Amino acid sequence: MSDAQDVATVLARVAQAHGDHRDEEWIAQYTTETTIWGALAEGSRSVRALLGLASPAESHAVHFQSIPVIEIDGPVAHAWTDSFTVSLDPAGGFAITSVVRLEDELVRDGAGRWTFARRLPTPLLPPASPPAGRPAKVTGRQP
Amino acid sequence: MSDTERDIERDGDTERDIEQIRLLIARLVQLYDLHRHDEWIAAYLTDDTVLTSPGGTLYGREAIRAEISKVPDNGWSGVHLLGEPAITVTGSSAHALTDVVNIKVTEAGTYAVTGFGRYDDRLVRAADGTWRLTVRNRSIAGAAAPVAD
Repeated sequence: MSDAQDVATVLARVAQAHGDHRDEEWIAQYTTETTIWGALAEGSRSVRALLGLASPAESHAVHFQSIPVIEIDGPVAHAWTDSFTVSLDPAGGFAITSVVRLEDELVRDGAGRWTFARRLPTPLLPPASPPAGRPAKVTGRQP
Repeated sequence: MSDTERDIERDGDTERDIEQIRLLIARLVQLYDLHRHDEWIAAYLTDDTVLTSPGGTLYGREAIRAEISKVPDNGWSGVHLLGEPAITVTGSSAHALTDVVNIKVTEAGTYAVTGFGRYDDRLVRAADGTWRLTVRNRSIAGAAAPVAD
């Protein structure tokens, strides 16, 4: 399998693990110092905090990814992936709750494993501002 | 070189071709969505590329460029999301079938599916080794869209 195929597999696995709420699994795909939304996340707790997680009870969603554009430069890979999230609403209907372009930088470690060094999700729609005095509720963000 | 080694080399070449064609198909729509039309028209079309859709047919790069220039640039407001393409490479030619879903931002500030369809592409390997789109037949269900969409 080529490096580009390996990276594509990592991108797909992370999206699936996020949709399934297998949080430890996708967080493990990040390096110990990953830049997310332009901020440095040191360790898995920071990754979790920066990406924000909805609880399984309030989020039944699946993340679909378009074909990623992947460029390999030695031990570094850059990937651009369009993605959308379909969520189940309380009434039993389906809604597209997120469309993002993911700009990723991954690095290959000594064991040949690709992990995220940087992830910049750009939503097609800016996230709605929370009502005054209430924290933002994050759902449908891509890991 | 043995027959087995030749087979392995040929398989490797085909794998590289398929990867380059996947990249072309994906990158083209990403550039389109960002209204970077000069880039995809220059990089991925030939002078004689034909684009066909229910809205009509465009013959050649300049006709495509002229048509696409009529589409207002409202910034990044929609995406073409692609399924995994089925690619067949035969020598310096290739055929690819790719499902596509169009999602746009509505005036109400929500997301909506505005169409879906399939790209039926014919490609050739140019003299410089890069793959180029020669024919795209686009079938689509849903809202009318520009011919080059």
